[in-house]
Amino acid sequence: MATKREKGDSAKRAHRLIRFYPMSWRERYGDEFAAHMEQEIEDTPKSPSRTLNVMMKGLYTRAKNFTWRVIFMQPGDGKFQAGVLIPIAVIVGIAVTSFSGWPINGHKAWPAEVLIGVLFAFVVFGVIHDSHRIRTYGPAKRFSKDRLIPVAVILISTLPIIFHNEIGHTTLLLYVVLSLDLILFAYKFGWVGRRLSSINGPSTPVVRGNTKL
Amino acid sequence: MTVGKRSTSFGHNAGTVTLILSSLAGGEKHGYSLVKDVEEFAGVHIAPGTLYEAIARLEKQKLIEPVESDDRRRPYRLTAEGATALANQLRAQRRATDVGLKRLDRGWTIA
Repeated sequence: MATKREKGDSAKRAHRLIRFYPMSWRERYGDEFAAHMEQEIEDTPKSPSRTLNVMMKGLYTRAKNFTWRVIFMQPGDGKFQAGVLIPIAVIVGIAVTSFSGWPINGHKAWPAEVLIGVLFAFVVFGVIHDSHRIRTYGPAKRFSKDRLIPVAVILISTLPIIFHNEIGHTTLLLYVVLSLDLILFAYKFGWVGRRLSSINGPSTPVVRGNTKL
Repeated sequence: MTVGKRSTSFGHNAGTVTLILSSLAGGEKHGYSLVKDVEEFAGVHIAPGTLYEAIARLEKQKLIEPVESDDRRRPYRLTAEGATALANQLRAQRRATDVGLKRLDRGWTIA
């Protein structure tokens, strides 16, 4: 029989894992899935394969939802178009530009250049968006926040290339800057930011006209 | 061999789907009791992510439907269409099983 504290822990862990799923899915299945997960966690407290299964299925559902929404985009879905397609176009544009005008160590490290170009574009978009937040573009806001995943994936995937000295000092410096952005991002949206704001009190919202941003 | 049209739509998760529908054929169940039932009759543990991926798909295909409940754990039941699809799938599996067993009987000595 699980104690009250163990039940609380399993509920916390279940809710943490459910966040891998998209909002629309959580609205429909979230509650029952949480109840199911809590019972599973009480039965088997530690199961890396279960965690991996939920993470993979959650990310797969996110990708599927996003793809379907883009494919079956309705003409009236203007906010979604503006919020997702424009950032994607900007990111691809900056990535292609940075790749074409950025020859580092010949052609040896070209996949890294493209990856870092994409990473750079993600960061540029994120920083611009964070500083000029447009309230109506909800998808853009989520897209900006979601840049953490691609940025982290690219950082990790290009690390072996850095360690094999296939990238020059300029790229390395850029890499450091991008890593700093990740840290700032974690500060702004992650637990560090929440913890600091709980110590310092909530930040004052910026007010532009009558709209609280 | 002609397989029922609905059974082919079980797709790459045919095994999991067959187990879930077979379990619900015995009566309505929520996720956890369904997993325990499948464990009991098939010796297979369905991971939560896989289970809910299949449930969502089956519900969309109208092969199962949710039952109103005050509990957080929502039960599901098999629909008439789901029962037909399951029957087709099991018949197809039985045909494959029969062929396999007959061929093994003819040419193999099983220890």
